[in-house]
Amino acid sequence: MNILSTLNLYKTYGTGETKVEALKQVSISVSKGEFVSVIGPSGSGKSTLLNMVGALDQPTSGMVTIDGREVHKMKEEELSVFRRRNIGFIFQSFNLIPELNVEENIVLPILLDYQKPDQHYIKELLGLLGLTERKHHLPSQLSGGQQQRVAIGRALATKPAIILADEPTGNLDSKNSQDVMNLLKLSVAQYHQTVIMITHNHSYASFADRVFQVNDGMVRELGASRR
Amino acid sequence: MLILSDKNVRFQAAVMVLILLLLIIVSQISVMRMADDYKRNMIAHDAEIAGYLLGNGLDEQLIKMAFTTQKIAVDQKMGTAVLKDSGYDENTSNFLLPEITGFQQKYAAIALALSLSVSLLLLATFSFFLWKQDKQLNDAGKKIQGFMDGDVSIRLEDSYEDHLSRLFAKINTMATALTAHMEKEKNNRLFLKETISDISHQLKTPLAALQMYNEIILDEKTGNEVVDDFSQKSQRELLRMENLIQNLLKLAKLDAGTIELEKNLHSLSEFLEKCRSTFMTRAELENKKISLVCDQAIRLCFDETWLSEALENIIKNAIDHTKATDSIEIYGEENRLAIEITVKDNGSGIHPDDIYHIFERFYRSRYSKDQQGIGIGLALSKSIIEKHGGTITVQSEWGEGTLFHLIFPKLTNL
Repeated sequence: MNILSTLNLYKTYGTGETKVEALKQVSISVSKGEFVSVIGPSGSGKSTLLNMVGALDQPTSGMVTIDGREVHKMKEEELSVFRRRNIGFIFQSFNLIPELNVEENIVLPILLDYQKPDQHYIKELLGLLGLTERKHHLPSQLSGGQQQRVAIGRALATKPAIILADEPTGNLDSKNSQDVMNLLKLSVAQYHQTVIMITHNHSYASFADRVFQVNDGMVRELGASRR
Repeated sequence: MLILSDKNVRFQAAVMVLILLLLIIVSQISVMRMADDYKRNMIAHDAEIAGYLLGNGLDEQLIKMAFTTQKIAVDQKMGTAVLKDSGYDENTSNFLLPEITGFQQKYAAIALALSLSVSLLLLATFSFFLWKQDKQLNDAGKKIQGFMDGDVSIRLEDSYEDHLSRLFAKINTMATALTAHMEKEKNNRLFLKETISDISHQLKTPLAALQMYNEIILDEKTGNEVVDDFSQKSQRELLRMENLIQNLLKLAKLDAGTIELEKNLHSLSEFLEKCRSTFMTRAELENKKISLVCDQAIRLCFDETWLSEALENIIKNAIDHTKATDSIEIYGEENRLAIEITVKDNGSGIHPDDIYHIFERFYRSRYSKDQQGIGIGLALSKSIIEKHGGTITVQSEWGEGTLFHLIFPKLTNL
């Protein structure tokens, strides 16, 4: 079942001389439970693609459907609610809230939706991410790897339809990167989550079930012919 | 504050507050008007009294003083006593005082109009929001029905802040999980079917070779009785194995739901005759009778290949469980509701312990003396008949015979 699909997606920035075609005719689909990685050189349109499928930006033309709902037709107000409930984000720079402790950071997206967090699930999540001991620490008291694990926990907290990770290991050393990748893989398998991850590291791309390569705004699936 | 996060509730509360505010303002205005009216009435009344007193020759200055000076309690007491003598006091009926009656009627009408209109407004707002919510729920109900009817891409509208949206978001998550689960299950079945058919196909080749070798041995005519006897036996077992593999393949296909029945209208009696003729040679050889009774006019919509598979399994089963001189009867009948095919024999029957299990795969009876069967034929028949929208039932008396009913409701012909 396709949890995410795009059809003939185009995105252009600017007009006239400065016109940049960031995405050209992108038609991809991702099934539920898949781990997909996106690779490509800088400026190839990876992040634009992630912004499109994450409903952070509107495409110039084309369709984006997430779990049966046409995201490109939604109004900004609907989109913010939709994102909160259906999409989990993991950023390169963690983007944790410095004033909140680990546990509060993780349950924040649930509280934003005026819901009560499921304490049992949060406890389990903290255990899985190895953060039980540190749940009352502030982000500034954690290492980069731990901060990214908090961000993974935050993305998983609402059990979203799709998790988007933009170079989750970009700011980490190789040991921490390996840990974070393993945890990401493990936790998404545990909760049957769907992940789309941008990465520069080709060896992490091999973690994925499928690999998309972006080149000059064109998206191509590596090894697609085998399927 | 949690309640007010709901946009609908917020809006509804705002409208209610607005209406109540309106009520307060209008009622204050009407109280002001009432005071004005009261003043006007009082002055008119005083003027009447003054005019009357003046007409009766009282001093003008005194009259003016009477209305403008500050009075004391004693004045009121004396005045009350004077007026009471003439029957004019607090207990006087309102009806006797036309000014009071007019005043009362006017403000009764105003108060009634005001309270009535506010009540109606509140009622209208309330029912409007109720209607809106009802519509939302009805739409959601329709969508859920659509989802259950097979359109798995349907999702509820959940991009708002209100309570229903939050509930709908959860329902959507559930729908996604269900769909994913369903898809997975379907893939698993396909995989199983492919595995079974792969294995079956792989087995076919060595089996064909074995059969050929066996035939060569049989053709050799060694004259050795033991060799002949055992090659005959292995020939029989090989045939049985081939049969089993073919049946397994068919069952796997049926189970995976990958086959499409090519349903057409056929004459039932022709079809039954064809099935009967398949077994005539064997029946004559074993001295068993197969009779057929069927109206020529009955027509049924079915896939000939698959249904003959189903029926032949049942007839074969009947032949397997009868002894020489026994008879097997096949009937084709039509009534208003259904078309029925009946296969009846007077053979060994089915033991009561077995009767609930005979349609299970690989079920082998403890009581049956038949060693040939593998217990898959009837399971296959049942699958095929159910795929045609029909049902199969069995009645049996141990030692008396067995009756199989194949019932096809006429609705499925459409």
